[in-house]
Amino acid sequence: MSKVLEASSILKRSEAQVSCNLDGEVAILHLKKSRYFGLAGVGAHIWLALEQPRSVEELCESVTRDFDVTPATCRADVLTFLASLQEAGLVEVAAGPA
Amino acid sequence: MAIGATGTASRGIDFFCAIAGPQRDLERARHLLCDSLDFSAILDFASEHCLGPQLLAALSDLGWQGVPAESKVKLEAFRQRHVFRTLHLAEELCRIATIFSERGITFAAFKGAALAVDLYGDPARRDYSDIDVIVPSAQVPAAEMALESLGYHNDQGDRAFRRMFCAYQGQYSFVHADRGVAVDLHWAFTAASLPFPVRTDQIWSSLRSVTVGACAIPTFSDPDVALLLAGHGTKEGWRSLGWICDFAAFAHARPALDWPGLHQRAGRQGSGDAVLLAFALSNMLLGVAIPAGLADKLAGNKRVSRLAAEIIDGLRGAKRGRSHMMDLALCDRLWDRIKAAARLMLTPTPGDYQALPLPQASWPLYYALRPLRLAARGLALLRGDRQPMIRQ
Repeated sequence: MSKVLEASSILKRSEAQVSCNLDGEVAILHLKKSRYFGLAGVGAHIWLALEQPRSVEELCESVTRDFDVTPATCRADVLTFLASLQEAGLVEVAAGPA
Repeated sequence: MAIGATGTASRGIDFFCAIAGPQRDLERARHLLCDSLDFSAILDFASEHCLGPQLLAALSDLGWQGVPAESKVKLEAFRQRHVFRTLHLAEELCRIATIFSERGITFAAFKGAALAVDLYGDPARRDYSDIDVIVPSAQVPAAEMALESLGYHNDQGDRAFRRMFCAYQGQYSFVHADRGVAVDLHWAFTAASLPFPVRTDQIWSSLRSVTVGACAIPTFSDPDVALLLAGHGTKEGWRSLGWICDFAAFAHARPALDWPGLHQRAGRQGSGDAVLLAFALSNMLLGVAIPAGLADKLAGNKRVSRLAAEIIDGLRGAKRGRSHMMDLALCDRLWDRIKAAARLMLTPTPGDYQALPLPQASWPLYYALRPLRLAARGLALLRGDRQPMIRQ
């Protein structure tokens, strides 16, 4: 069952995927489900930032730096997006809040 | 498909040299794009030379300026196919790596996804269509069985046939019909009769790994990658600009490698000119600096200068096609080329079997029949038949 994400949650890419990035768009293959996913724009930006494990907070800071969005809106949208990646098995929590 | 007229091809290669080398010149590329460059020819050139990913990246950086809508649609279709195929091949490479590891088979992946990750940091930044793995020759039967257990098959014949007629190439080709994936299982880099800059027994002690998806895939050390790229390009006549771009990217990113030492090492195998040729082409087409210690050797090597000029003429569309004897360019010395050609003439191939199928017990006769068949071909050639003398 997916863990609830918080600002301090540290996320990493799942080991059950392989991804590639071409021309700013990311394609991901879930190796166990054999399902393909495509990400563009902010989604691709977040995925590329997750090359190393990052906290939700760090990801939000990266997005607000590069895109025109308020921190509050960003946090809500990023949490929703990360939860969907988690649900799809593409990311997992490396470390949660204390 | 060849790119139109020579002039068009020449400007096409100038465009790709501007966008696909390690030191891109996007202003020059923009100028060439504005100079009525034939875009359908550009797409053909990218496809023929495996430079689609580099073309996409450059056009994106140029804001798709001057790209006809129809070409943009074709490039988008290529992008989708390419990333799908890339991920599919990466998945297969992981499956193969897993089963080889489980069965205790020593192996390394080279070219393909491993090289793309190593050189460009992403499996989709190169265009490739298959998987190349190498195993020690003693483990070829185990690797064949492992591939067969994954659903791969070899359509060159049964194992006895392959050993007799195909093994001289140092590789067998396997295909997974359902998954649409081809795997080349190597135990050598070239035919036994030919030298190569790196010996297969030298690679195993210095393997490192690259990460493809979740898998740590064994691949060659930097010095061995350098020699492999130089040798592979030379063996194939450097007919793809993409191979020159790979070597150029590698050499540009690793100026601290002991290049004169690598040249000497390749020279000890009788294939040092391959390293000089790789640098000559990378320098002339893509502006890669010749390492100190190689410049004098290159300047004094007329054979390499002649080969480089011929290859560039070929890339510019003046000459097309691949000679069956191109592999011989791997030999520094004339005597080695003569020996290699002679051994090739005495080595039975599937073509000999197809010309005269004999029962297995009589297969040793092919060692005598092959020279006779080639002699007959030679006579036919003298009579005006333009069939090549040696066909593999």
